[in-house]
Amino acid sequence: MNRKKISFILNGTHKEFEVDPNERLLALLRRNGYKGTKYGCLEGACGTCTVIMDGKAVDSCLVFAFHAQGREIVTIEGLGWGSEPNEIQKALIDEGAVQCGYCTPGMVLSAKAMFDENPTPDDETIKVQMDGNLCRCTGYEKIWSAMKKISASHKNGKKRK
Amino acid sequence: MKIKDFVFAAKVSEAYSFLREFGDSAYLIAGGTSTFFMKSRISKIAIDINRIPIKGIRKKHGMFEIGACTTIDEILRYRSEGWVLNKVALHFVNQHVRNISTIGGNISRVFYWSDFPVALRVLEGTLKLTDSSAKKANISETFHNAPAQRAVFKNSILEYIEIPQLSKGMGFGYSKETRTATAFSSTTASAFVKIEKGLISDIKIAIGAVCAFPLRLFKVEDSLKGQKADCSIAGKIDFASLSRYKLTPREGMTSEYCTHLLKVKISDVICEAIKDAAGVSK
Repeated sequence: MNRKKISFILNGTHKEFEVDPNERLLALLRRNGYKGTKYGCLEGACGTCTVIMDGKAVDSCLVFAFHAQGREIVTIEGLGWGSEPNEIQKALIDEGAVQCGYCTPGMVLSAKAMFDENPTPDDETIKVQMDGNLCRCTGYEKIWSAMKKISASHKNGKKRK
Repeated sequence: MKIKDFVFAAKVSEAYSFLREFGDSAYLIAGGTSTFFMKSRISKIAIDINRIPIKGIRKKHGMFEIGACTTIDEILRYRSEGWVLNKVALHFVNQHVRNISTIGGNISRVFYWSDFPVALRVLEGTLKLTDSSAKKANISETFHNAPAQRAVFKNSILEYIEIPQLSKGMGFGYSKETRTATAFSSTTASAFVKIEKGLISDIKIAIGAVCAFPLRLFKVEDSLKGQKADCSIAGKIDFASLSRYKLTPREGMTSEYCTHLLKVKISDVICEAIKDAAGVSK
C-alpha cells in the first residue's frame, strides 16, 4: 500500500498525517492518540466513533481517512475536559445520563453538531438528529432529557456553563 | 472492498481521465459508506468525487434536479411544494449515515436497490449521465432492466437525477421495512397516485429489496385505475399477479411471510399516496 500525506484541521489545528489508502478515519485518529473516538460496531450502527466533519456528525468507522483531506474535524478531545465540561457534558452529568460512558463521546459530538446548527431543537428534531447513537445502559430518556433542558435554556436565552 | 490508492477529482472531466487511466481498478467514491459492505477481490483506486460541484437541489420548469453528490441529509431537510423525497430520506439508516451518504451512491452502488430507486420508479425519475466522450444522456429505462443498469454505470458518471414536482391531486407513499434502523431493507414499496374527480386517474406502484431491481406492478396498477380514491380500495387489491415474480425473501423470512409483508406494505403506500393526494396528510 502507498502511504500518502493528507492534511486537515483537527480540533482547530492544522495537522498533517500519513495515511494508508484503505484506512478509516477512526483508525487514523486512534493511532495518533485521539482515543476518545471509540471502536464500536464498525458498520455505522452504534455511533460510538462519532466525529464532527465540516459541522456534521459522522461515523468515523465509515469514513475513509483520505476523505478528511482539506476538511475540519472535531473529536471529543476538541471539546470540554473533566475539569471544564462544556454545556452538553454538564447537562448529561446533571441528568445522570452517563452510566458506562462508552457511548458518551459520540453522544456529546452528535449533540454538539445539532446545537451548533439549531440551538433550540424540538423533541422530534432531537430524536432524529440523535438516532445514530446507541446507548445500552440508560434507555435514552435521561439523554433526551438533558438535550431538552439545553434546548429550553437556549430558548430562555441562558447559555449553560 | 480494499482501496490501494486514492486521487481527488475536481471536475467531471478530471474524473474521466482518472477512470480511463485506472481502468478496471478505478472506483468512484462520494460518501463511500457502501464500500464497507461491498465485496471485491480486486483492490481499487478510489477517485474521490466530493469536490465536483454536482450537489444540491434545484427547481426547474416543474422538475427537481438533484445533484448526484447531494447528501441524504440535504434531501431530508429540503422543503418545497411538490417535493416528496424527504419521505424516503427519513427512512434512511440514521443521521450519521444521512450526513455523508449521497443519492448518487444509493442509486449507482448499493446492492438490491431498495431506497431511492424504488421511489424513482414510481416518480418516473430520469438519470442524467455523462459518458466518456462528455456526451450527456437522460436515462429513464435504467430502472426497467438490470443489464441496462450495469451497462449505463460502467462507463458513465451520474451527474443529476431529475424528478417531477407533484402538483394538486397527486400523492406519494413510501414504506421500508427493516429489522433494525441500520439493517438493509427486507421490503420496500412506493406508490404515486393522481386523483381526478374523486377517482384514481393514474397510479404507479413499485417494490424493492425482495427483487434485484425495483419492479413496477403494472397489473395491480391497471386494476386500480378508475376506482374511487379511497383507502378502502387497499383491501380489495387483486394480488394474483404477484405470483409472476420471483421474490427473494430477506432476513430469514419465509416466502409466505415475505409475500404477506409485501401486500401489507403495498396497501399502506397506496393509502398514504391517496391521503397525500387528497391533502389529508399535508
